[in-house]
Amino acid sequence: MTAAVVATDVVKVYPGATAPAVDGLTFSVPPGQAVGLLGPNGAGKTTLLKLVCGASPVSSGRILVHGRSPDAAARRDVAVVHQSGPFDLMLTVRDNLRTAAAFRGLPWRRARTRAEELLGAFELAGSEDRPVHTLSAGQRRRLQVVRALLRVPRILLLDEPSAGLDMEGRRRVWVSLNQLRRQHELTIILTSHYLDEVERNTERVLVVSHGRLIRDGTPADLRNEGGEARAVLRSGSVDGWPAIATGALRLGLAAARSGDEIVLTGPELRQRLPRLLAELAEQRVPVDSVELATASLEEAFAALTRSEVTSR
Amino acid sequence: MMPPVLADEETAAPPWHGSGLTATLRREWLLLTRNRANLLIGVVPTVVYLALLSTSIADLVPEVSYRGRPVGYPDFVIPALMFSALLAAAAISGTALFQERANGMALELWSYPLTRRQYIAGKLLAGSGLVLAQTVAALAVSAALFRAHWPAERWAALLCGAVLAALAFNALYLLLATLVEDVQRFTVLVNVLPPVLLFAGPSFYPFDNLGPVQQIVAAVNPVSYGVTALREALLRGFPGAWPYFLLLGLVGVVALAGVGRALVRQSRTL
Repeated sequence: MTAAVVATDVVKVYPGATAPAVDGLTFSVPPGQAVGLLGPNGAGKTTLLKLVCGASPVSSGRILVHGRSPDAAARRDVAVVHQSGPFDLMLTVRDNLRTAAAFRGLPWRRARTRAEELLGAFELAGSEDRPVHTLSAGQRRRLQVVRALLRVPRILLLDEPSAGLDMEGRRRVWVSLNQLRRQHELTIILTSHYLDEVERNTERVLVVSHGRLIRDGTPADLRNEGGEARAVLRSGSVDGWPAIATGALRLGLAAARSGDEIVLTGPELRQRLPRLLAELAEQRVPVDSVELATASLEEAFAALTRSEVTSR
Repeated sequence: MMPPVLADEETAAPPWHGSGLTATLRREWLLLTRNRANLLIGVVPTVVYLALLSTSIADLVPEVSYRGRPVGYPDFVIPALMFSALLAAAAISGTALFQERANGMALELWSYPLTRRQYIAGKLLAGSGLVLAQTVAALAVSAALFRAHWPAERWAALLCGAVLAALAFNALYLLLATLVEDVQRFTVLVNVLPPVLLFAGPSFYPFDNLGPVQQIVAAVNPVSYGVTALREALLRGFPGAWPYFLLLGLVGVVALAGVGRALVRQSRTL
């Protein structure tokens, strides 16, 4: 089966830049997969999407979209929601959609019904005659998604699709996208600063930093790599709390009281916790329960990018 | 709340309809027709100039000497006024291209299945259509005001010249829009260039009446050749105008090649 997207040693250097925006990326995305692209600001995520959609050429290396370089013909299968939210601002919503339909090979008489359906689905019904410059940021973002879905693409590139959207707006966008994924073999590559959004809606995460791929795995892999973020200890006796805090500090762990719990964090928590519990048992400090909480994707991502910065 | 109802199989892969060229033309048409202010800006000054010419200036300067023979001043100057309409419309077309880059629409457009050739052709055809329409409107007003009595062959030559000049100068403005990066520099250039170029040439006076320095400037001023092409078409028909038509065609081709190269260069910065 031909991969939806294949990137091989892709490098992108902008004219006049001292460092590459994308620096030797290699990865492959099978059809139908939803991939989250994570990385700090300036990591090269947006640039990578521009390379995949063919709007900007690679400096070296190769990108293939369904086995073809992303030329005009290959772009028929790709739709993009760009982070910058470009529109012909003086034109109305209808005119912008009409133009997009023409570029995406749909006669307006056919696209109009679809456009109305999508505008309704994204709570933009009734805005057809409004110039786009009068729409709010959230409305424009939803209109971008409508524009991208006028013709269902085989590959959908989403660059911060939830920026400017409220919770309900985000929910509606993802309900629609996931519905489309169920109906079609839709490949999605997504960048987002909402890591919960990435975790919920993608099966795979690529983490980039300084234009390089530093991790490639499932969201669960990344969380596990981030290790146990915290251990929650409950003790029936408040007399034991100072002993717990002192023992934790001696083992290099941080302890913080939160209600009737003590939350422990720190490096190698899983290895150090049994030693602490053994010490507390020797001191006859009662511990009612211990709960290890896995790191969230956000915590794991933060730890990963911190360590990347330190290692550089 | 009901989840949105979206695509079915039918909407996923309908047959492809149209091309990047027709899509570009459609977009340009919408941009031009929805912004009527630009059309007015292009037409009104020329109409005012023509009114002034017909009511006072033509009485003040009844005729001039052109290529050794006397010519009525209105016939002499109407090509220059047509050209002022042409430059204003070409400036609008160039500005639209510049704004596309500035407001990020270029990124959206290049994400569509669109080739550079289709894009340039669409821009040129739509822009030149506007330029031509405004030039012909100016010509029609001139003909009405001065009760034109030109033979059919001169009309044909004039229209042919207008088409070529529209293509060439539209291409030049597109080139300017792709070469200049800075918005302030572009704004100054696009607003200052038309009157300067129009007056720094044999638009309103015969070449021989220009001062020595003005004659040097006029010789390198592309507007001089555009105005002369239209003037030759009006006063001498195809026999006098064809070398200038050739030159306009050449300018257009070179400018378009430059636009193509500039767009490739720009895509690297997207």
